[in-house]
Amino acid sequence: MNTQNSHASILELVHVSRFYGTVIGLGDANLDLAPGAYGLVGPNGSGKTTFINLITGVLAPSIGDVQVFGQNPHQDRSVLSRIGLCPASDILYPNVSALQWVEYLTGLHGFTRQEAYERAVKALTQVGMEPNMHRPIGSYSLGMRQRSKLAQAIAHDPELLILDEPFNGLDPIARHELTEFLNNWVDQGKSLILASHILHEVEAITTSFLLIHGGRILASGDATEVRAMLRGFPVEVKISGQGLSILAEALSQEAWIRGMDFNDNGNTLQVRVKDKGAFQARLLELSRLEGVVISSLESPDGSLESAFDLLLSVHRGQEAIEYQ
Amino acid sequence: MFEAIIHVIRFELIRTMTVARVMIWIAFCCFPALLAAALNYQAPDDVPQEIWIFICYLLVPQIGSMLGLLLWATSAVGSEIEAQTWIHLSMRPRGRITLALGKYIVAVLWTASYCIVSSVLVSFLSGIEDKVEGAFALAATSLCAAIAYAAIYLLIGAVFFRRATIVAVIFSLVIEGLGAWIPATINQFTISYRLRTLMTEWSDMGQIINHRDVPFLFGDEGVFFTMLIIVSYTVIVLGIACYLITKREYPVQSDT
Repeated sequence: MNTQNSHASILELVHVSRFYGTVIGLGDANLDLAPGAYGLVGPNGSGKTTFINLITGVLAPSIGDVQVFGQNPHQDRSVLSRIGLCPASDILYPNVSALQWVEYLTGLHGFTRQEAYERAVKALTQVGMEPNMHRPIGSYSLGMRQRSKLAQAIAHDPELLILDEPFNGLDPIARHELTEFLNNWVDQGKSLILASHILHEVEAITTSFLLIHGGRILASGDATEVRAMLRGFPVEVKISGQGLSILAEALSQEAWIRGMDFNDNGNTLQVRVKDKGAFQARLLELSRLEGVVISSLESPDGSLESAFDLLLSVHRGQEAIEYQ
Repeated sequence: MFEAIIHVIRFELIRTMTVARVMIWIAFCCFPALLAAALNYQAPDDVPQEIWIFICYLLVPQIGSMLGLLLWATSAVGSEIEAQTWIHLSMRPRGRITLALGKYIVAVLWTASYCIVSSVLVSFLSGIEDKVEGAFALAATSLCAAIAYAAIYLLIGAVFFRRATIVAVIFSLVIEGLGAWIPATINQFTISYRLRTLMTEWSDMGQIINHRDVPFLFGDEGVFFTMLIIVSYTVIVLGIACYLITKREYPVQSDT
């Protein structure tokens, strides 16, 4: 999967797999990302953190090769100075302040005490923690701890910022502020990988996605590319009304119908359709038949979320996406 | 890297400034001294000097130093994993090795500091006749004990990060507790044997007891050779611990 090929890669995965005993954390991932912002989207337990641990060198791949800025992060740790990571895990240092903690972690990048202090103050100010940075972390709200984590990730001025579920536990105001911050980060021309299981939060920052599920990268690209990829996959349409048996009999003759089910005591017909355009045209004709009354029609709304849901359902081996 | 190690030391020392940890420091200082004072109060006047030196050696350099290091050195890796901060350290190019060395130094400083104070108190409250020489011998031996045992416990913490303290206690009891007193060559591989040798060299004990009478108790290799063995042992063990901490994959967080 190749995304935005016009520049040198920030991240390259070649047949990368990571196993935890007999469990696949990440399976045969191939990826080549140019500088930019990417949303790493997938449900909980899909392998996002394994992916992040592999590209930060915290884990070594069982098979394959990982290159970040052309270097293997597990073997050559110097590349870590170009990466900032804001992990999903919470900070559990209750009796030190955010300033002391961020200064300490910045100092581990090799900065002098003065440099580390100045960078820590600057980073904490950037994330809006300046008024509270002298208080012990134990007294912080979850939002403050998230901001502190973000500050330690940006204090050494990395080229690539990786965030794992950064919106978890944030209130709406804090979510908005974080979104603003990340949009500014991207506007500065810096790269970003944002892992989240909530698609609309990612959509507010970037239109390029990596969809991960069951330890596999199912798709990558921007929203248009993802939708184009899904063209031709069957979708499920739910029809409610009267005379549905007449409708079903007529539709069963069509080649693009993949299956039908009656639900709700025969009041609902679920149709799996390969060609949505042809289906809509034919349905219009059939709706004029005597005895047929269509009261409602539910189908995929064309949003990116629907597209991703479809990809996931295909990956799970379902014939088509199911809609509530 | 030196600057980064200083950052670790400073940060870890800030973290020690809690009421609980200061109380532990004071307790570790005073407990051996109180025991020595109680023994001195109860003991008859004709207790031989070598017995007093031996008791004081057990109280401070042997047991006292181990207690502090069990708290500090064994938990070097495990506490970071438990606090979910290992991932942050792993994201620094030399974060892991600077953490290992920084925590090793803090463990030695913290332990040596209370052992030195405790040595002075124990020497003056016990029945040791030459108080100054006794305090020096105990303090110097404690410092050597802290340097060597901190490396061993750091290695145990790097290997058995989940049950490090339990493994370290078992190691201390079986190897340094029992193994070091076995009257065979095997006890020469223990740190305790080397510490006893130093203690006899730096106190009156060496003049009172002949090595040939109790060869399993301490060696006659002299201070320089014994120090060389302790330093070599420490460097090798510390090197292995740092290698493991740098290269090993420790659990970081559950998958999302």
